[in-house]
Amino acid sequence: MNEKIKAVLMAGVGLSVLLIVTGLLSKLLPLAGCCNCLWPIVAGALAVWLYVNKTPTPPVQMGEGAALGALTGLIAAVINTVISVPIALLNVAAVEAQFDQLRAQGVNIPFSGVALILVASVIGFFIFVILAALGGVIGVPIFEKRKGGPLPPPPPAYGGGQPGGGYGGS
Amino acid sequence: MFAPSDQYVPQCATHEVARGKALVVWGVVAVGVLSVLALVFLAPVALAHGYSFLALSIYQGFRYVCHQIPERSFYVAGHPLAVCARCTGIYAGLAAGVIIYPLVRSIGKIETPRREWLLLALVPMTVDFSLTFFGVWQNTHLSRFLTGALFGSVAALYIVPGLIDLARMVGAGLATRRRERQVGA
Repeated sequence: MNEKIKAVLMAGVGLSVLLIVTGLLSKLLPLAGCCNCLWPIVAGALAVWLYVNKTPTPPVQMGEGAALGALTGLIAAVINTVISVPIALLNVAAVEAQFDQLRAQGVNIPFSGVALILVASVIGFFIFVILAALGGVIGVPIFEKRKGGPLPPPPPAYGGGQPGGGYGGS
Repeated sequence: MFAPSDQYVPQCATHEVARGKALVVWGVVAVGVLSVLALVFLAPVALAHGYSFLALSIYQGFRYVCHQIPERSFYVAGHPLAVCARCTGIYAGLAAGVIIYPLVRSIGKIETPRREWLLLALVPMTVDFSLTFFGVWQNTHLSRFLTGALFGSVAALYIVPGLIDLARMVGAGLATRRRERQVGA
């Protein structure tokens, strides 16, 4: 398997597990979720660390870090959505109960809990990807200690002239 | 064996990106970061003005990345912001850092400052959190906001060049593909 995909998968799955665990813990200990905004950033940086350790040369570039982080966030967001949205839909009664509390406070809520869960999961999805991409960018200067600039682009494929042909063309 | 001159590819890699392109990327990043910050403030305002679906969608969306404890959040229009005071600080600091970036650094350069500065920027936030966690000192909205803002603004110095480099990579990849197509045709 490609080293990039391996690093992204490991960090993405790790992030999803961490978020599920902190989500469960926060029911008992509210402060368990205090670092939730940092976890996607840490996961993006972790993907870079895993990739840097597996690639002998050349140095990983900042742009690669951003891409690794974004992919990590994407994987974590997909896993989180696949797990949390069905659970939330099964517990839609709890959301409706919260709606009732808000209605009692005078807030007008003319929509169902299902619609809210679906739209919120899309918003959460994008926030995940953005934060993890930022983590990937931050991870490069932290973990990439090797020196060197970006590789030069590859030369173009040979596409003209005749073998042995000189400047005169004949 | 010579390739035609119109297929010449510079073989000297530089750490600079064309200023115009870098400014476009910076603009996109600035709009993105400001949009996220605007969402944080939009949630309570929308709730106060009766746009409950919009407000609750934003609150629920940010629930994945913040505990949203009301006692640890700033209030606007009688409702808590979509994220806690520390996260608000991080987003606000990031937005401020991105906006002033072209004033403090050359926009075309993709080198970042030394990583020690980023780790140093994390120290006040860690101390602020740890002192409260271990019961030594009770932090405040202001301390949470300021320590978060410091980290966010320093992080911008790493994020902007990183995203400019990402755009450079994508651009170079597209150009190579275009060249290959031209040669193949």
